[in-house]
Amino acid sequence: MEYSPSPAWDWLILIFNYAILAYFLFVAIRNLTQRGISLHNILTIVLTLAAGIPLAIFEFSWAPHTPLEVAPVLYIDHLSIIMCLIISIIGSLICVYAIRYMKDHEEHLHLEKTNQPRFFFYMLIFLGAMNGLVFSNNLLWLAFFWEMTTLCCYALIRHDETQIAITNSFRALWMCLVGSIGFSLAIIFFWNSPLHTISLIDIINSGAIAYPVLLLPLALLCLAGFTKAAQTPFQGWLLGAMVAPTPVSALLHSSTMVKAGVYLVLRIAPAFQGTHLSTLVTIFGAFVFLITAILAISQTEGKRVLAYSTIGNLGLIILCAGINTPLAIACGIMLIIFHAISKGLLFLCAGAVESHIWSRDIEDMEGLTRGLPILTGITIAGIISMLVAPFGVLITKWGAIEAAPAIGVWSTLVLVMLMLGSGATTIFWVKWMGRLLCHSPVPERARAEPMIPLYHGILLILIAAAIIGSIFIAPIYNGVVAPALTEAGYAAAFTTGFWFLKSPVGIFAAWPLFVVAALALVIPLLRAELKPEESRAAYLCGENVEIGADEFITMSDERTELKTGGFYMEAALGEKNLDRFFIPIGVAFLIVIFVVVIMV
Amino acid sequence: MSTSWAIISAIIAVIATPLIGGLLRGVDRKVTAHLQGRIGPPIIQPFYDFIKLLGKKRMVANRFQMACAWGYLILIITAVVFWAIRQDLLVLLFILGFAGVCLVLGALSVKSPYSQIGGHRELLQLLAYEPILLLAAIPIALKTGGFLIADIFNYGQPLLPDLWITFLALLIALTIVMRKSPLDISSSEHAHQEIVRGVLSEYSGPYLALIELGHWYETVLLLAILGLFWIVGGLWWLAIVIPLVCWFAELIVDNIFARLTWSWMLKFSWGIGVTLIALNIFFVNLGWM
Repeated sequence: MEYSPSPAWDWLILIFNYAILAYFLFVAIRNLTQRGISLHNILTIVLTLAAGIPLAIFEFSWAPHTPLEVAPVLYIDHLSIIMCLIISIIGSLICVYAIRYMKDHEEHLHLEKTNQPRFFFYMLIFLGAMNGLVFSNNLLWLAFFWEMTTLCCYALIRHDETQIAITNSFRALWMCLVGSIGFSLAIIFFWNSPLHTISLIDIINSGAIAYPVLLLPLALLCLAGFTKAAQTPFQGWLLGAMVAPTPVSALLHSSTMVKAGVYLVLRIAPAFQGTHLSTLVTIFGAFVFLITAILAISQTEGKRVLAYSTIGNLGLIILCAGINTPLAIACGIMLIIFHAISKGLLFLCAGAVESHIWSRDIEDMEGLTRGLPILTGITIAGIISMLVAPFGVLITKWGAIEAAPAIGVWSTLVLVMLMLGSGATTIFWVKWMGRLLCHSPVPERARAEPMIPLYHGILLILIAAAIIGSIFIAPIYNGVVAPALTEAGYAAAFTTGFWFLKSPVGIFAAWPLFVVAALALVIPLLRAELKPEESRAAYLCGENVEIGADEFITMSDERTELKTGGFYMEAALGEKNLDRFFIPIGVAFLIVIFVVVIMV
Repeated sequence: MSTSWAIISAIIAVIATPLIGGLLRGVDRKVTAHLQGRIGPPIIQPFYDFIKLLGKKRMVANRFQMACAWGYLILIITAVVFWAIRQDLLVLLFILGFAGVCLVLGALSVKSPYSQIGGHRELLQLLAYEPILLLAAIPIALKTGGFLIADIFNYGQPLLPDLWITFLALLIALTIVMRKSPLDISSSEHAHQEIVRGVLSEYSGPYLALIELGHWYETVLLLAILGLFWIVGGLWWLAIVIPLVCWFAELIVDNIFARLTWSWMLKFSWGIGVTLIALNIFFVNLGWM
């Protein structure tokens, strides 16, 4: 579907775009005058100018008309519709959850005057901007909505106005502005190419094989996507965004912001199919997937584990875009869907847990199945939905692995990184579940905590969506993903007889495996009855105190507290140790991408 | 493969696998005893032990642990069925991974230092062998043109001559999965060492029996995956002999080596195992193998 509103709207978009950039300059200069020179505010000023000035020169002097009009302005296909559904449904659920969360949050902070109007203003603008972003075909419109999401992200990270929140919001701002520079330059290059257009759909239909000159602006758009999706070396902003209230993290990680980045890369993937850029994007995605999985092992803070997992999964989506076969693209799109559900769920769980125990540390969550059985149960189910077959996230990983050999010799490197990353992923998820489950045996069952409708209700909706969506993955593929593939010019990825996903190289039968999983785990869990006398204390070399007590008798006949903890391997795998290698490699990788694109 | 034939093979696999697995375990104990200058138990002792465990009074730490024992067993049986009906090899390995996760979660759900250390070490073992198993599917798929086990059966010639490097790497994974020295770091083969029985410490009675049964299935499944490297018309018996020879070699290695540390294991499996398969994939991609 195509739609072009009256040209007056182009003026409005143009004015607002520069207004946002001017606002970025304003906040950076205000910060500079109030707090003195810092790396963040200087970078923000420099990068805002670097993104804005070329665009202004282009729009006001080089372009034949101001504003530059392109038909159609809005273009809606199935990929946009999928994104719109994710943004609108999951985003709205998160906003509803936030009603309760912000009340708790402000009570905990003992605020005199509520800041909620500002908070919800930006939350809802965020959803609107995302919808605009996925429907835009005119790159200038796309760039405007792109800036708008950066603005909302900045404002929401800053929401609590603490020192660290302000610092982190500026980091998010300047890192995303690096992408904006890419965007501005890409627009100029596209217009100066023989195609002479800034219509996304025209660019995709022409492709870089027919017009090699498009490769550089496409790489610039990928760079913009990488910054938004917080790919190494830009992961710092997303990790810093943790200081914001939890619904913001949930929104950033599941349905908005980072998904804009991977959406853009997936959207333009058909344009760079069969080029070096495609292979490089694949290796880059695999690299990010591997290192974030390793870094997540050493994290003690739950939300940082979730953040690294998000970055890794975005890397996997980018890898799928790079492989660029029907199977890979289908898996990339499905991963966007399933990751949005599961990750939104997990952040909301983390927030609900936090509002009970006022800690984000995984070690403080030890044995939480006793205190908050329902909430913890949903959290564990959510982690399971990220981790094992036959859930949607794993199905897409399966597809990515089976698609990867298609890229030829480089697939060796990609697959090794993918498999090692998969192994590391298992560790950090299971470790976390283990801490939640770990408690001394007690004869009686845990008592369910009181249900809070806006917490438990939303969480139950999301976990149900994750399970039902995975069972019905074949109809979902047929309904929305297959049409999206066709529109992007790809062949079909799967046939779906019996609702099995059957690709040319493999079969994934999701629903029979759900039957097995239900038999194997759910039925024993629900059916198992434990009589009090069958319950036994843990083995402590015979030095137990009594059943249910977290104590044992030491050699000096004293009762001593029993303590256990998780493995984090901070010394070997900590950020301090590894980031000094990973960040430079990430930077070097981006440089290699541009060198190859320009030289070859 | 017709549907009725698939059902028959699945049923045969589910019944025959634990019998083979139990017997192998019995031979294992006998051989080990002889190497240590003892007579050892009768070959069918593992079955007696299994029945004895089943008859024991139920003692568990929590209900979740019970579900984990069932989950471990049923998921491994599912993986065995996947082999029997010649399904997707990668999906089979994912299911096996899920089973491993169940075992670890059951151990981690009890606040006991031995069980906790065992569970965490088992995770490190997963980290060490899972990439090898998953990567091994790649050169096989490159050769046979698909990830289905059926594709290997249709390939028409043995994979071993081209993929012997991958086969070697799989032997490392086999040592870890069988929890044999030098890589039995998560559950010491003999109890009352520093971690008692590690990941298995808190399982007892009928639930330990379920896990033992699962372990029999798992060992035979791993050997059956090694057998895939020699599925051909002629000399078909090599498909059985080769895995058995490897298994026997594991017993010898088990008795010669002491347990090593987890960091050594990780370096060994990632450094040597993964590198070997990566080389094999690279060579296959270049058309050299």
